[in-house]
Amino acid sequence: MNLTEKIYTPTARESLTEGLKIQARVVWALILREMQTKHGRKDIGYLWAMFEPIMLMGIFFALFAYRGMTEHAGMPLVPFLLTGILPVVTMRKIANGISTAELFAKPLLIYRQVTVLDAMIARVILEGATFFVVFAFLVFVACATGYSQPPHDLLAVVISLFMIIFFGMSAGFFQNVLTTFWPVFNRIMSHIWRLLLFVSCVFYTLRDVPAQVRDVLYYNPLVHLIELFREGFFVSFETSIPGYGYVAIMAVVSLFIGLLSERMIRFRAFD
Amino acid sequence: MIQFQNVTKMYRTTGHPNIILDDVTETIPTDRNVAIMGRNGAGKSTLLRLVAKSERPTGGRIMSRGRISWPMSFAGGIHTHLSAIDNIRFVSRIYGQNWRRVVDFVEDMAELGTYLHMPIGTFSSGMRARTNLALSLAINFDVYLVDEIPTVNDARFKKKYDDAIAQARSNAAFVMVSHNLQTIRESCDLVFVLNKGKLVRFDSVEEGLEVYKNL
Repeated sequence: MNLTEKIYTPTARESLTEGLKIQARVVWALILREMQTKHGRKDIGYLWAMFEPIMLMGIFFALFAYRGMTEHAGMPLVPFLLTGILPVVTMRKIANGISTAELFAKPLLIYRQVTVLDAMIARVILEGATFFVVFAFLVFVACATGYSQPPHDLLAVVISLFMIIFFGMSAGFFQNVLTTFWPVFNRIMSHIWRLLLFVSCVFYTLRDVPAQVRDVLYYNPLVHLIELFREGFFVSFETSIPGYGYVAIMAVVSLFIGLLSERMIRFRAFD
Repeated sequence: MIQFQNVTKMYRTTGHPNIILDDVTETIPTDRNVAIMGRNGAGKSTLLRLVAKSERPTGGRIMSRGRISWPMSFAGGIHTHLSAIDNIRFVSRIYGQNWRRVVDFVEDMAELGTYLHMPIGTFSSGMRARTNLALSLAINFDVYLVDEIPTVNDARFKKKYDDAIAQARSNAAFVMVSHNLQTIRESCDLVFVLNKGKLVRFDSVEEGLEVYKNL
């Protein structure tokens, strides 16, 4: 065998498509690696991903049921809680995943083709795919057991799922920048994400709260995402949120700031 | 061929910056076996990481052709909580290799047996060295960057590994960092001495070793 027979790997600069192919390969390898390190191979493994949202739903379901409620504003209780809790949990996981990706990827940077950005993309894809699967599974179970009707507007629901992933990702890149400059921020942020569960229309709707509170809640993009998610899911629910405009602007701005700063601070990751 | 164009590398430390490379313009040939020598802390390992693109220079450019390995050393990018086979799969995937072939190669070389499915953290240091070395030899690189060849001293494996390294040598170039003068005399045709930010080339190995000894 001589040199010319060997597989030749050009650098990303030499060819964009070759570079993208290598990146896809690396992201896929990172996703598989992540699934192994995160949940282990021996126990029930990836089912753990469902544990937290189901537990939270169980708690709220018990509280609501205790007060004799089976639905809220025309929405059956189970899908009502599901469309509120799962998005918040998912966005938190995606955002925290991005801002801790550097820590995870650091030992892997000795392989030239692996970058911190690849690790971030891998986490978004993995958490996003998990969100789809967990959501579909829980809706299926709820429908089969008579606790829910199938989604009223499937396309709107799918758009909602993507917007939730997209917003979580943008928030993650923004969170990552602040974390780089101020490491404590990550810990603060994980508490903020928990608090957001209470101010994001998770177990109530915009219409339930007084007008003054509503005016404040309008600034919370999670409120927009959850209200629109429910509008797509339930035939009987209509929201006063006009559309994804506000969320999209917030997401694009924080993604832009996040990615731009990631490029500028990238050198620090290698030092 | 690995070309350095005005390459500077420094680390910020408390006090004055630690300059590893100071405006180095040099070419390291890859059709010969190259040794990089220097005192402890001179930056030999950093130099290999720069060539491997695991790290970026503070200034200047490093250009290279062909498949260049990661800097092979004891630890590498091995995850100690992951099993050997999961580590092997990961490395195979990012290099676009068929992981079954790579696993077979490593199994054959390192003879891990049931340890193949155990976390690397449970390995003896000999097993780890064998696994790491076998994994890098399994992927066909044009240039192997070796940060002190992991020594496989176990009589049972020594011959097998020496043969595998000799075979890799006939197809690919080795750029190695070593303190072992014997190893360098036996296996290198060219010496670079790294000292105080400067990289000096010696076409005569003996001459290079002489300079190194007097550092």
